[in-house]
Amino acid sequence: MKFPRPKQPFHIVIHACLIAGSIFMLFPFIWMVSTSFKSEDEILKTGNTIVLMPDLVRPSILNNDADRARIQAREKSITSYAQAVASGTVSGKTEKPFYMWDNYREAGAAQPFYRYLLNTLLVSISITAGSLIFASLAAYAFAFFNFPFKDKLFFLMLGTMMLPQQALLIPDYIILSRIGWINTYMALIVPWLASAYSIFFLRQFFLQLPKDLFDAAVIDGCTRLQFYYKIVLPLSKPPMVTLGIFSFLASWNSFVWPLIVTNDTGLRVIQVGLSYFSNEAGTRWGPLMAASTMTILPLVVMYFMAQRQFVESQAMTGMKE
Amino acid sequence: MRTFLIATFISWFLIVGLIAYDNAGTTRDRGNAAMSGRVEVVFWHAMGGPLGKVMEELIDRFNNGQKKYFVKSISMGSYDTLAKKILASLVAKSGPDIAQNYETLTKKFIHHKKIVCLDALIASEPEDIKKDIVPVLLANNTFDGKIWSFPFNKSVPVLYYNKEMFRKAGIDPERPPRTMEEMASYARTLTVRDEKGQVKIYGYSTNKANVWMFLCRFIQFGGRLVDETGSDTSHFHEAAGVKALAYIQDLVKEGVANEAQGFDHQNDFKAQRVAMIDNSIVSKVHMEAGSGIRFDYGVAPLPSGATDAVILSGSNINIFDNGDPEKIKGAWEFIKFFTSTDIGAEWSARTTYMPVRISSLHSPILKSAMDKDANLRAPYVQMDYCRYEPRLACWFEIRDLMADHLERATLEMGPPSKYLEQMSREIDGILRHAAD
Amino acid sequence: MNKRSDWSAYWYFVPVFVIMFCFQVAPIFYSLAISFYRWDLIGSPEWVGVENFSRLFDDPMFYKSLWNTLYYAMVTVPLSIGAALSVALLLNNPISGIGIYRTIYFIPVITSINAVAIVWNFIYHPDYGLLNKLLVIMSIPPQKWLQDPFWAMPCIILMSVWKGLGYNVIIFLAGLQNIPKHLYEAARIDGATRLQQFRHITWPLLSPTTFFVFVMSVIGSFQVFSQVYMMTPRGGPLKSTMVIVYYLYQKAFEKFEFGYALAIAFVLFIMIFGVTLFNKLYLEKKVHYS
Repeated sequence: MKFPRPKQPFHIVIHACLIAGSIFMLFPFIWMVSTSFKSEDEILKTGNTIVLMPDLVRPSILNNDADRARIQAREKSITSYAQAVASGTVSGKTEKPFYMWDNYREAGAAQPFYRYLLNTLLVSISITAGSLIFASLAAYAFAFFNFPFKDKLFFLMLGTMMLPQQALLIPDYIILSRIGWINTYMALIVPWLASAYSIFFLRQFFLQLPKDLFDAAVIDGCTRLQFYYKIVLPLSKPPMVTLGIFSFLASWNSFVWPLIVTNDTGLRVIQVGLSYFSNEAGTRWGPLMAASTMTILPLVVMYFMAQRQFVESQAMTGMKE
Repeated sequence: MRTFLIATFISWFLIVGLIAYDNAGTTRDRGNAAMSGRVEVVFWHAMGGPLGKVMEELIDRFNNGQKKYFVKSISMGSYDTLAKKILASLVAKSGPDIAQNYETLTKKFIHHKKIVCLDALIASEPEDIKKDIVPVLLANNTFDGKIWSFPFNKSVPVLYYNKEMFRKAGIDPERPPRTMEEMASYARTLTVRDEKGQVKIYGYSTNKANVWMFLCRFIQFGGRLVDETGSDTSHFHEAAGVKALAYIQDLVKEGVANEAQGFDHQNDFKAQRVAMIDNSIVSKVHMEAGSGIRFDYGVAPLPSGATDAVILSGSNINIFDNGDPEKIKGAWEFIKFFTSTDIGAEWSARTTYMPVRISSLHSPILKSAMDKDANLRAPYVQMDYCRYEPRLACWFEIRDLMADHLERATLEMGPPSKYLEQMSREIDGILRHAAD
Repeated sequence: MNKRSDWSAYWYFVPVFVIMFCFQVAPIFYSLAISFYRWDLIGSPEWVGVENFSRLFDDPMFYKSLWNTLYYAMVTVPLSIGAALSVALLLNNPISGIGIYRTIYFIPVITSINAVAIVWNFIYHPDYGLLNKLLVIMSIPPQKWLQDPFWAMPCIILMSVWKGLGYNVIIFLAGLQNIPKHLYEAARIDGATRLQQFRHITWPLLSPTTFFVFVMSVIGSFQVFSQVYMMTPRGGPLKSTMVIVYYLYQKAFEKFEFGYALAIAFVLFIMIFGVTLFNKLYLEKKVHYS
C-alpha cells in the first residue's frame, strides 16, 4: 500500500530551513576568518557596509569605488613606507602598509602559540588516554562485581558532579601546592584523570553487555583483568570514542584551571595564551581574530578527521542517558 | 583500533620530544642561565604589546650586561590576572621574586610581611638615589616614612586631538583647549552631524564609568580626595564632585560627547569618528602600533578646571621576601638598572612612561626624543602638579563601587547629586568597616 | 555474574579513588569548612560562624545575581530545547547531505568559549559589529547590545544557544532514531497528519530524551559563567548579566573574600540539588519510558 506523498517540495523546504540555520551557525566563523585577513582600515572604516572578502583576496571585479580607493591608498602607502624606511624617517605617524598575514604575524609574535599548542596537545592526549583507562576500569568494577559500599560509592561519585567547579578551584589549588605540583604538567593533568561522568557513562554501557559472557569466560579460566582487556574493551569501542572526543574537547578548551595552576610561559596552554593576548591586544580586532582562528583551527581539523568515527559511535551508543 | 592506539602513543612521545627540544632551545637562547650558576630572579608583570617588547629588550640588556643575575620575565597578561596570581602564589609559596603592583596591594603585603623594605638597599648605595627620584613618585612609594615599593611604569592622562579636524572646524591646531569650558565649546564646534541630525563625528570621547578620569576632573574642580589616615569620610558628593559628573553628563546629553567601553575610544580616534579623547599617555604607543595613526594629531595636557591637577596611573614594583638574600640583591640590582638615568630615559622615550629619576628628565636621550616628536612633551608638563589616588587597603573596593555609580549616572542621566550622595554614603560604610 | 561481595574489586578503583578523593571529595568538605571563615588568602582564616551565610541573605547583589541566573535559565532552556528539537526533526528526514548538516551544527560545540566569545564580542560591537551593520542595512536603528542593560542578557543568551545547539541536536537525533518506525507507518495508514504524528508519537516517545536534555540544561544554566566573564566585564551594564557563578568568582578572585564566595557556592549547590530533585520526583512522572 503506497500513499502519494509530496516528497520533493517538502524536502526543498527542509533544505531551505537547514541551510538558513547553517548560515547562522557558520557565519561567526566566516566573519572571524575574514576579519583576520583585514587591515585596520577595512575593519574600522567601512561604515555600515558588510564586506565579506578582505581587500587582498577579493577579485577586482567585485570592488566598488570605496574598495578601490582603499586599495589604492594601500598601494600608495607601500611606496611611501619604503621611502620612509630608505630615508630613515619612520615614526609612529608613518603609514604602514598592510600585508595579508600581518594579523597572524602580530598574534604569533606576541605569544609563542607553537609552544602553547604543544602543551595543549600533551595535556589533552594525556588526560584523554588516562581518564579513559581509569574510568573504564572503575566502570567495569561497578558493572560486573559486587563489593562493600558499592551503592554508597556510586552516589558519592554522582554527587561530585553537582558542585560548581569554581568552588573547587581554591581547595584544589591549595592541595596541589602542598604536594608541590603548582606550575607543573602534573597540575594540568592529574586532577582531570578521574571523571565521574565518564564512569557513569561507561557503566551504563557495560550493563548492556550480556552477563553470560563473563561467566563463560571465568569457566574458561579467564582472570578478571583478562576479561576486561580481551572482551570488554574491544566491545566498547563506540562509547570509548565518544567519551574520548568529549574529554579531549573539554581539556583542549579548559581555561580557568590552567590559568590558576601554571605560571611559566613554557607551561601555558592555548586558551590561556589566547586570553592573555586578548588582554594585551585590547580592541585590535584583526590580530584578535587571527589568534582566535589559530585556537579554533586545529580542533576543527581534528574534528573533521575523527568525524566518521564520532558519528558511528554516536549511532551505536545512541547517546543513551 | 590498534593502529589508532599506537599512533596516539607515538604522537604523545613526539610531543614530549618537541617540548624537550623547545625547552633546550629556550635555555640556550637565554645564555644557559640555569646551568651557569647565575641567580635567577623571577619577575611577574602585566606589560604586553608594544610596551612589553621594549621592556623585554631592556631586561635582555640587563641579563647580558652582567654574569651574576638572570631576570626571568613572565607576562601575566593583565593587572587583574597578575594580582590574582600573586595572591594565589603567596599561599602556594611559588611566587615571584619581583612583581609589578598597585599601592593597595603593597599596603596588604606590608601588613602581612610579604615584601622587603627598600630603605636598607637604597642606603647601601654610594649614590644618593632618593634625592634623584621625582618627588611625587617618591611620596607615592613611601608608606609611613619607609620606601616599600619602587616606581616602575607610571603614566599620566593626556588629551589627544585630531589636528585635521581642528583645522576643518576653524580652530587653531596648535592651541588645544586649556580649560574644561573651552574643551566643552570645542567639542560643540567639532561635532559633525549628517543631514538627518545623526552624529557622524563626536567632538569628545571618554571612557565609560572610568574612575580615574572622574577623579581627575574631580580634583581639577578643586575636590578633596579621601585622605590616607583611614578616619576621613568621602567628599565626592561635594560641589566639585557634582561639577565633575555634571560635566560629562551634560556633554553626552547634548550629543557632542560619547562614552566608550574599554579602549573603544582609541579605535574611534584612529577611525576619525571622534575629534578629542582623553586617556593615558601610553595609549599613544598602542594607537601608533599596527597601521599607525594616519592623520596629523596632537597630544596636550588635560585642560584644567579650577586648578591644574592630574592623577598618576600605572604600577610600582615590589621585592618579595622569599628568604634568599642573593635573590633580593639581584632584584634590587635589576630595579636599579632599569630606573637608572640612561635606561630610564630610554624607557620613557620609547614607552612614554614617566622616568623615575630627575636626571633622566634632563638626559639628552629624552631631549632628542622630544625634539623628534613634540607629542612626547605633554606628559612632562603635568609632572609638577601630579597626584596619586589614596593608598588605602580598601581602595579597590571603593573604586569598584564608584564605577558602578558612575555607570548608572550616565546611563540614567539623573541629577548628579543623587548618585554622588549614595556613592559617598556607601564609601563611608567601607571606610568605617575598614577602620575597625 | 560474580555474586560474591569482596574487597578485591577495589583494586580497579585505586587510581580513580585516590584522584577523586584528593581533588573532588576532600575539596568539597574543605570548601564547606572555609565558608565559615573570613579569609583573604594572604592572612590566616578567621572563624566567623554563619556570618557569611547570614550576610548572603541580606546582600541585594546576591538576589540580583539569583534573579539574573533565573532569567538566563528560563529563557535559555526552552529556547535551546525548542531550537535543537526543530533542527533534529528536520534532520530526521531521509534527505541528502545529513552528514554535512550534522557537522556544521556541531562546530560551535567543539570550539572554545574563549575564542567564540571574542568573535561574538566583535559581532555585537556597537560601532564596528556585524549585527548593527545588518540592522542599519534593514533600516532598523542600531543598538548598544552588550553595553545596554536591557540587551546584554539577551545577547549572552543568543550566543549560548548558538554554542550549545549542536550538542542537543545530536542527543535528540539519537532519541528520534530510537522511536520504532512502524509506529509512524501505522499512524500514516490511519491518516494522521504530520502534526498529529508529532503530538501522539514523537513527543511522548521522545520524552525520556527531552527530560535528560532538560535536566542537564537546567544544571548547565545555573552554572553559566564563561560567556558572562568573557563578554561582559564586571557583570555587565548595571550588573544586568551578573549571574551567580560570576558573582562567586568575583568575590573569590577579584575581591578575595573566599569564605563568602564559598558560602555562595554552597547555596548554589543546594539550589541545583533541589531543582534536580524536583525534576526527578515531579517532572519525571510525566516522562514516558517504554
